[in-house]
Amino acid sequence: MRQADPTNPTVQNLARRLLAHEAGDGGQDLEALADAAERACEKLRLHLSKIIGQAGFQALLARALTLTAAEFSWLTESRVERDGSLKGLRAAAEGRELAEATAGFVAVLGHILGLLVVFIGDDLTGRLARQVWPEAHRGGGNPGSAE
Amino acid sequence: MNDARSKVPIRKLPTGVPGLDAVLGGGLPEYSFNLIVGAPGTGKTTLAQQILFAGASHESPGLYFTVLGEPPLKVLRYQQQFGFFDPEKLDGAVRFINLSREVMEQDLKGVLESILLEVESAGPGIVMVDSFRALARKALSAADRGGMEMEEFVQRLALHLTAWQATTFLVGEYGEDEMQNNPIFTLADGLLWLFQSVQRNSVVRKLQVVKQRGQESMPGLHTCRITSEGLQIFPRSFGLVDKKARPRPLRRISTGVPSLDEMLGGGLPAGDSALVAGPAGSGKTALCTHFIAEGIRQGEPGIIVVFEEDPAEYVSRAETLGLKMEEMIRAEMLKVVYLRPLDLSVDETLHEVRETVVRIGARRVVVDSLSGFELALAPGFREDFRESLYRMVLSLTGIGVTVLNTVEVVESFHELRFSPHEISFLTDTILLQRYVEMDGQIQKVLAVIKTRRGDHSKDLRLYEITPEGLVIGETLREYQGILTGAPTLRRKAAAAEPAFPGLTRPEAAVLRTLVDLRESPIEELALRTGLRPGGLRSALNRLVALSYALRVVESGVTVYRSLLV
Repeated sequence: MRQADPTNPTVQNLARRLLAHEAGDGGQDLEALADAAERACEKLRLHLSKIIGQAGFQALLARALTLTAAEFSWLTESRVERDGSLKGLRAAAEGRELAEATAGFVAVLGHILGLLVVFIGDDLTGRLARQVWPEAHRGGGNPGSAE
Repeated sequence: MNDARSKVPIRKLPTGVPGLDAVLGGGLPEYSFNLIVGAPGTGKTTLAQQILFAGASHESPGLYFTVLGEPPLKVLRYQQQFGFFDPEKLDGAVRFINLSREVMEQDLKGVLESILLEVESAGPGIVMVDSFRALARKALSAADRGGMEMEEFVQRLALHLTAWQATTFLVGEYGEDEMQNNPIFTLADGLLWLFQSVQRNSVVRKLQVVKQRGQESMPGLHTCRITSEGLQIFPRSFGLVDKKARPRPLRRISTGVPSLDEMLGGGLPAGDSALVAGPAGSGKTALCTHFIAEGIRQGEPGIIVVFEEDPAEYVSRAETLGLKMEEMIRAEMLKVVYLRPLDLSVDETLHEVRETVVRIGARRVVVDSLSGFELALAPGFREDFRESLYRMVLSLTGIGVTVLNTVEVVESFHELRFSPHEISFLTDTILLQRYVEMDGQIQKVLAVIKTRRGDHSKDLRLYEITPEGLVIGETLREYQGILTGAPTLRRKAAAAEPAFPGLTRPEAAVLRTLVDLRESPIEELALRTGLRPGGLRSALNRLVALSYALRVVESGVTVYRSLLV
């Protein structure tokens, strides 16, 4: 298994795919997209907290948000709650171009998945993602694998 | 109701841990409530997860509750490195559930309810709680506030999980000093204790089944090792329990050196153990390679266990004696087992040897040498070396394998310490090699010191290591004080002994035989002298060249005739 990193393009592609899946028809609406990103994080939280603990997921998300904010500084206005939920994406993205906001949301999701790949590998991360979004993974590969 | 037929059958579940089922007496008793305890770093979590992955399936899932302690992300990160970790099972067969929040925010009652909720929803066959020591600490503080105590928690957990037909393990860090008077240990059906001790520079891991209800487990401390495949246990009895020695009919097998077979009364008794003792460079290994090669010639696969020498070097050294070991290895008739030195346990060594014996159907095993074996052991095991050897020899001969051990003896010309380990009682046959000073040369002599079955030669015979291997020469009848290392010629013999200038001892022996026979074909001489064809041929060539003998071809048959009367 090759070393993956949070900026791995394959991981980012998976994140983009999951965000689009979550947004459905609202992909062109900034507020709907922000809600979709929060919803995706929430689904991950509910599933992963059970396995790695609420505090474990909260720490992971906080790290992912810090990494993303280095590229998208406007995301510093969003926050991670004590229970590990992500809040304030809609407010943080207000006034941003749709493309820039989309890239930021994809980066948050991508960093969460990327960190998981770093810690537990692309195989287990892929399995966890498939457990959360079984319908979005028909025939999909692992996040860290070359496509 | 005491009739054996009315007993409830207890199904034994395979643990997936090599060696553990044997130690447990056949496997894990189904629905048992067990504890896995030990100090940090002893392999508790690895053992628990190995059992979990082996036993969990989609029909009967395994739940792994993590409670404080090692972060679950790290558990997943590290445990997936082991061969037993099957990612396919994470899709439902194995489920990790973190209870840190419940532990921090609720009392033990809340934790118990969370566990039971998951159990009732999943209907698992196996449940693990890692670590319950964290719960015990929580219970201590909660008890002060009138909360549930640990004993009550464990009792209720055991009750519920048994009722839900789950086999359960609680994993916890406990020191040996905490083994006594712990009410939680009393509640458990099974108690597996893992130890890790540092002896000088070596680390030794051990497992003990302190308690096992419902079936007879194997007592004592069993060595274990953690490899990339997980934990492996080496049961200390090697399957010797309940095995009674059966009298075997005496069948002799050749050592590969015909003259030595003659000295032994027809060869080594099959299924016996023999010891070759001798100083460094005396040819112990040469004798071993003859023994193994002869077995292979007879269709009996063999194993050579080496500790000091690199197997490739060992093999190439045997090739210089004309023994084609590479070919034997390629034909899977020979396996050279090289065991990692310095922190071995005897149990591990024997496990490896026995596995190889079974794998290639070996009938002959050489351990070269016991001195190297002792050195390769972790210091703690050296103290029990004699006992260990006893178990090892018994285990191998018990399955009908003939064992040839070598041991290096310390000798000077004034002193011969026969066996530094006082291990002669372990062997049925003892062969002694030693150096002697004769006629201004260092010579080698060989003797059969002991055979437990049958008669043997009392002769002390010269031998040489030639390019064709070990060649035994004449008996030193004319000398006395041979075992002092500096023999003297008997007076009478000295006067009567004819001199054969220019001849080596094997050549002189051939000549003497030829004088007795007057003339003989080479086959007869080979039989009488015990020399190998190559060595005998070169001896005869020398006798002809020095005009001691004549080569005559009569009716197409070559015979040698003595020119001495």
